[in-house]
Amino acid sequence: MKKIFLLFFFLNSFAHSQTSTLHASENIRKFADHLFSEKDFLRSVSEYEKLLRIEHNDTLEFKIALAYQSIENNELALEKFSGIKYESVFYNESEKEYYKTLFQSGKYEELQNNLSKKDEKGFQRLLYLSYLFTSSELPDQKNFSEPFPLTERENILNFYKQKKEPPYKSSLFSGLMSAVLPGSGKIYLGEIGDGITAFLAASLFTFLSYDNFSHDHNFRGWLFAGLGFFFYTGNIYGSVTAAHIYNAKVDYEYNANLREYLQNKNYFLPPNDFIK
Amino acid sequence: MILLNKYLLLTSLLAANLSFSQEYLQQQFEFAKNLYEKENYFDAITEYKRLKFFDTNNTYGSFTDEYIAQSYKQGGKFNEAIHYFTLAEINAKNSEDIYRIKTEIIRINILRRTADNALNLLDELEKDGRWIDKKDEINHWRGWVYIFNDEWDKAALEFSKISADHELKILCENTHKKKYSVTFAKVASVILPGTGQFYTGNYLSGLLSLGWCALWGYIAVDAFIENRIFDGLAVTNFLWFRFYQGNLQNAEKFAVEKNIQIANESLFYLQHSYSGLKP
Amino acid sequence: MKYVFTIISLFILLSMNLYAQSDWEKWGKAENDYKINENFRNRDYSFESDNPGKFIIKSLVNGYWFFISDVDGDNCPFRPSCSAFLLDAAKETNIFQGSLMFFDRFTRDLNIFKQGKYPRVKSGRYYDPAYLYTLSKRKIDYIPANEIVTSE
Repeated sequence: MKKIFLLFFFLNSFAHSQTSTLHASENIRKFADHLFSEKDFLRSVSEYEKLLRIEHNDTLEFKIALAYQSIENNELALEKFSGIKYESVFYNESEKEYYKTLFQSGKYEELQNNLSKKDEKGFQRLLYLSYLFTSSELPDQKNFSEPFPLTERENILNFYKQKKEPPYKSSLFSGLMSAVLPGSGKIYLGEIGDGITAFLAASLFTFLSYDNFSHDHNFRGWLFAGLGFFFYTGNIYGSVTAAHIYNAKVDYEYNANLREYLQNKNYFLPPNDFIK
Repeated sequence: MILLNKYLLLTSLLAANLSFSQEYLQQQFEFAKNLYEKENYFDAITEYKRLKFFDTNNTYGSFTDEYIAQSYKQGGKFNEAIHYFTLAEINAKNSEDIYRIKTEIIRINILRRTADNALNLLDELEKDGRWIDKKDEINHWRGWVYIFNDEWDKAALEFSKISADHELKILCENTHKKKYSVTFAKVASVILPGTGQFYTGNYLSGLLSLGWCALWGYIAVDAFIENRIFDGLAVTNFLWFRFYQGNLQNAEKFAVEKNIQIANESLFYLQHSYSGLKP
Repeated sequence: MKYVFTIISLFILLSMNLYAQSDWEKWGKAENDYKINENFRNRDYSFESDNPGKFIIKSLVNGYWFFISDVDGDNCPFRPSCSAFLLDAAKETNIFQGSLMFFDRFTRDLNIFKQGKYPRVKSGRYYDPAYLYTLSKRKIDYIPANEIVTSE
């Protein structure tokens, strides 16, 4: 009996050592998990995909999707998240990550179309937040902050108010101001140095033109008058375009601040266990 | 006797198991090396990382890190390459390996043009008593540091320490001789506008500089002579001085551009035609 | 010495995560070029012939470049330079509007307190392209002040 047992033991371990190559399934999995933990996501994806060819596994599909999301390959991440079936234990999490990826990739309209029918608070938050990035009509202020935690409602409402009434400057008003007093339109936009320079340039050439005309230097008079005219009209034009740029800056800073705030809050979604 | 035979059987079967796992590690090493030799560097790194992960006894420790580093170097990812060479140095088993890895790190510093790091490392190697016999090689790499730092005269000096008629010494000396003196071009242009450009072969630019400076200079002097001080000052400041400064800028710019072209000719030869040790 | 190696290896292992990011896209062999970067500014002296207005402006600018700008040094703190801005402005719009954009740009150039208002290119000059000033809001791709524009 002892001999049979010993023989069985050694034959088994012999066979086991022959099949336990570095490319056996369990070893590929161990290596893939190691790469994933080291944030070497692209390599971990190719290892997980090797395993998927052998057997279908929801955990692997989900990890592949998370890996693609981490390296900002949003198209493939969305494809993988949407491939996880309803029966899977990862379905709920993958649904959240799917919409988070849609949000991160800026596909707000698609997000709004899908989430408008969902009641869950996490999805409602994403839906409302997406309105802050598009030009579509904002929901009512009273209901807007409701899905959010109490401690964050003030911040959310501030972003809401800023979206509803952004601190734009009027390009028409800026142009008119510069027409009346050269440079004042730029000062209205906060460009004090540019405004003063524009005033000085227009004034200088106007004075030089007048001075030359009064001394009967007609050619120089017309030359400076022409230059003065172009500086004057250029300043009006520049005030209008400066207002456009000012407003673009307001939008840019708003989006950047909001994005940073949402990234810090993980888009008000629970953190994922696999990536922390 | 029977007991001894049993123990022998047990030991030999256990050893057979061990040698199988070593065989798989060796196979993996060969597989990864094959990918490296086929220049499939990204996948080679994957396989070397796999080997590293399963090599729990650290049998291949330093070699794996070295090959990963070499793969990153071939991909132009120098920071990662230095990172893995440093790991390889920590795991290196003997002083020959340590020396080889240190020179690899120096070579990468040469390629990414971080001359100070490379020179510091070379000084450390030189002071280390273990490699007194490697002085020629150290001077060779120091010469390369100076080549990449565009200091051809210093490079020639380093190669001359190896031998008086070293191929690279002659090349560096010739390159240095061909180069234009930026200081001379600027000083010449200070004395007479346009001469710096003539020196570097940009005759048209030199003539235009000379012409403009002469024109505005004449107008300014004429204004001062006629007591039109304001006009004279305005022409001097806004016109003559602008073109005079432009003349100095161009003299320097053309000399620097020509020198870069000369250096690049030599660097092209070194990269594609020189058969000796290169970074 | 043993502890030094341990500390170094721990630090390297902890920093390994940082290096994984370079492998988030598959890469191949790189040609490690020995040559020094030749960032010489070569002007385009060709003539635009599809439009008489553009032809006139290009001729004037070419003349300015050849006789004056190439001789009086690289003084413009902006990229594109004011003359190149005029060309781009005329291309984006028309001669008259381009001229207005140019005079506005010249005024902004005269402002001695312009530090910290514009993004910068690698050489340190201010990045101020013509497409920002065409009156078309769609074309405005706002870049924050002092950010380095790597594409220029």
